[in-house]
Amino acid sequence: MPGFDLPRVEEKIDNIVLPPILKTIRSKTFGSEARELFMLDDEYTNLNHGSFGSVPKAVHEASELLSRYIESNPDRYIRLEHSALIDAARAVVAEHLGVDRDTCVFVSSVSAGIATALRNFRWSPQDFIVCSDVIYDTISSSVKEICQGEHRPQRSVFELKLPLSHTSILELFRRHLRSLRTQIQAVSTDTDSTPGKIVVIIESITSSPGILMPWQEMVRICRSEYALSVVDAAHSLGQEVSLDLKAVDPDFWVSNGAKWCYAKRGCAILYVPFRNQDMVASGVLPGLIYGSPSGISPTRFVWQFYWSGLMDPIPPISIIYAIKFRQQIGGEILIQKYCHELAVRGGRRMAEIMNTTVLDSPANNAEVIANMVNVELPLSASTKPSAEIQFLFSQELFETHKLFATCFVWQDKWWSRVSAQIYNEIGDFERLAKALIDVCGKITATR
Amino acid sequence: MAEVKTLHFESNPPPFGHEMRKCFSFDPEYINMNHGSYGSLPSPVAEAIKPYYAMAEANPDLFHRFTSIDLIRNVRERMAKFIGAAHTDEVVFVPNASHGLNAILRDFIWEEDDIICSCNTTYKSISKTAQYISDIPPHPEYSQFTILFPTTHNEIIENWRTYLQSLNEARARSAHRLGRRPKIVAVIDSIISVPGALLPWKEMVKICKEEDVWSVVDAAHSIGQELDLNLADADPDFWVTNCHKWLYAKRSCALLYVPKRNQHIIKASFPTSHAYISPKKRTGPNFVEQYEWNGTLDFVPYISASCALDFRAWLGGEHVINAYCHRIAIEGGKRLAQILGTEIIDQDQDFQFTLNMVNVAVPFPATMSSDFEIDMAFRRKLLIKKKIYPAFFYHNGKWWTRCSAQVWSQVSCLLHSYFPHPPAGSIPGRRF
Repeated sequence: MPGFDLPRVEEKIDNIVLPPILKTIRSKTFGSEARELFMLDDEYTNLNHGSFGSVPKAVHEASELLSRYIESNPDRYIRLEHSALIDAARAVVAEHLGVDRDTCVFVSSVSAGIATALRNFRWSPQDFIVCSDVIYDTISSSVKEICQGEHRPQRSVFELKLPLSHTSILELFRRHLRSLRTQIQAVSTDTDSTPGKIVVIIESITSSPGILMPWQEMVRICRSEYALSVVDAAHSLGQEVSLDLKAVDPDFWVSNGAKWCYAKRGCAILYVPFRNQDMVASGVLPGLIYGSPSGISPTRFVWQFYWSGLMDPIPPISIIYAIKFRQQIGGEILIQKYCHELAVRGGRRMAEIMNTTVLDSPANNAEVIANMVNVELPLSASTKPSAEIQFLFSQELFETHKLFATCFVWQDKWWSRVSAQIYNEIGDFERLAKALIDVCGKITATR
Repeated sequence: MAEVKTLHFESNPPPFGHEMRKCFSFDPEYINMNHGSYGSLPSPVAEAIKPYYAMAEANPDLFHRFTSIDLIRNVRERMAKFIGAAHTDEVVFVPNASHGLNAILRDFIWEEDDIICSCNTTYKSISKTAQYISDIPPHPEYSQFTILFPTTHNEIIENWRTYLQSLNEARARSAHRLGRRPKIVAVIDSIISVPGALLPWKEMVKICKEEDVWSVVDAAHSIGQELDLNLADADPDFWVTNCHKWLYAKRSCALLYVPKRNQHIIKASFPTSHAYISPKKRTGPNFVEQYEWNGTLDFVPYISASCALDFRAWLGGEHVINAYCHRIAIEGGKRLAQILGTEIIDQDQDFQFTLNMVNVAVPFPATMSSDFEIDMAFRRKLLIKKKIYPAFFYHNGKWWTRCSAQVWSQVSCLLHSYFPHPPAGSIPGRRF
């Protein structure tokens, strides 16, 4: 295979991590011109990048090349080269996050990463797991599962009565932790037992509604209140600029490379600072140790995550291509500036057309908006959510209007969460608003 | 409802042997003799799944929320029939066997004095899982059953019965002390990984039933290598197999089988699914729903299992494929043993341990120890320099090579293997 016949793994990696296809990508004007960089159907307008991401053609093609290379000799790749490539991918991500390479490992999904963190704690009935009332349903299930049975921790829900400013969120959060701490100390004194611990699951950007939280400050509050922070940052990589994890210093942090960062699905990152790595006694699937081709022993923590059974090796490696691609087309700051401004403008335009509101902080300063915006739907709260209504939304949006954004009920109102990407323009938001008026009208008519 | 399209082929398949390499993507200079480790994706299957990838990217929401769910249900039904499960809803997809087995072993509610047992030949990460479960509270006991080759199926069956009986005696003593009866959970390989050997797993499962022991079968190598699987008949308590090993599906794709009677054991998938219901709130099984979505993954490998079955049908079907592979394994293994002056690990005249993998001793002195460096040396010298590779392992005082016979293999492949003999009088443990 041309370009891959080099004897040394390091040279091979250079060729694999930067195949010619990526070198030729040049930046385009963002907007409809950028659509040709992606594989979306010509007739379909994706306004829901936040759910499943979208893979750029160049990333897909680079991954295909790698796949053919792997098939040409699976043993050589998996036994001799894979670990080195995973190390290279970890290094790329770590640099992006401002942390040490050996604090980052790959997991198959954010859910898997959070579950790994939660299952490695030794729980006791005096402990509390704190999560918000808008926590992602899978994580909520994970927490419920951990809290089952006799000697298990208790769940404490932190209510987010949005719209709130970041300052208010922080104040309420601090108060919530302090009251838990008081409770724990009282129990410890009464029963003469070790005080329980507080583990907080913080979402950097919530899912439904999609709200940017002051998560870095929340992590600092955790530290000052002696609580541990597990950050579900599924939406952060590629949506938040300058993620400086070293400065923020969470206890655990998990993000998805395939949502906003253009990697292939199945690529998620688990960050664990060195001080907490001994706690991770087992990747939830104990790793089978394969020989390190470089001969340098990685840490026990990193070792566990090299191999958890035979998986498709490509998604974690694809983050290298994805980050390179983003650099080539203009870089993180430019990409995110475009998406953020479009989300804010687009949301306001939609609210104008539908005569509704945008979910924002009370000062309407877009403080809670990253690249996703939540706009109220012109649909009465008396229409209760149901499988039929969801199906109707999906069918009408996909088939009649050939676009999609999520629709859901929250705090007794209907909302749509709309994602802004470099392949979107303001016209997409306008079309969506009109489509939603149409669909909501149809739904109301059927009641 | 969306259905996976059946593959149709215009021409006849190439004959088995080197010509069959046309259907795979191997480096022309490389001879793959280790299909058993990582499987291989046939080019027609790689082509057949491209439209599903295009679908996933053309409209990610439509694909992930609707189409893929239907397609995967389709394929589950086909796979359930293929393995002889009584119901489609006893079979779900998981990314790989380790994943499935871990989920099962962690789903048990372990108590003190329970026993979890595996064999010395159990796949390492699975025996580590068992060890880990014993390491965390409430510390069930970890016990190991020993299989040493050369042996016979009958000997293993006898020993297994004796072993389980002894575990039962220990359990009776615990029960008397505790006032309740602990459980025993046994992990059994259907086909051991190293050595690559078929065990009398169905008889071992029967004995488990007689001795009131849970049987968790690691059948990673079974599908596509073991013929006429009929799980309703064999009736293990749990059974997991990798479709991306011998069945030609894309990595990663595996099946987890849990008969309806055991679905109440399933607490939670990994990671926990949004469809998880608290056990105390359940009104029925919560199995299939929990395994329909475990994070946004690449679901096309699950779909590829169906395309792989179509490809195999084109080649002539399961019996034709495996008859060829089995013949090459036996003939090739005999020839290799002859050339090396050593023996095949399967000493039974009917080769009851051998399906498509054959294990031949490497002519090292008896003093050559198990050494990671030796395994790495094999990789460097064979995989890189000689461009041919079977697996290597150390068992019962000897080094062995495990050769996988596949539809592209010929006896001459095994003869191309080159083993540098240490010169006579060499120092044991010498690095070369």
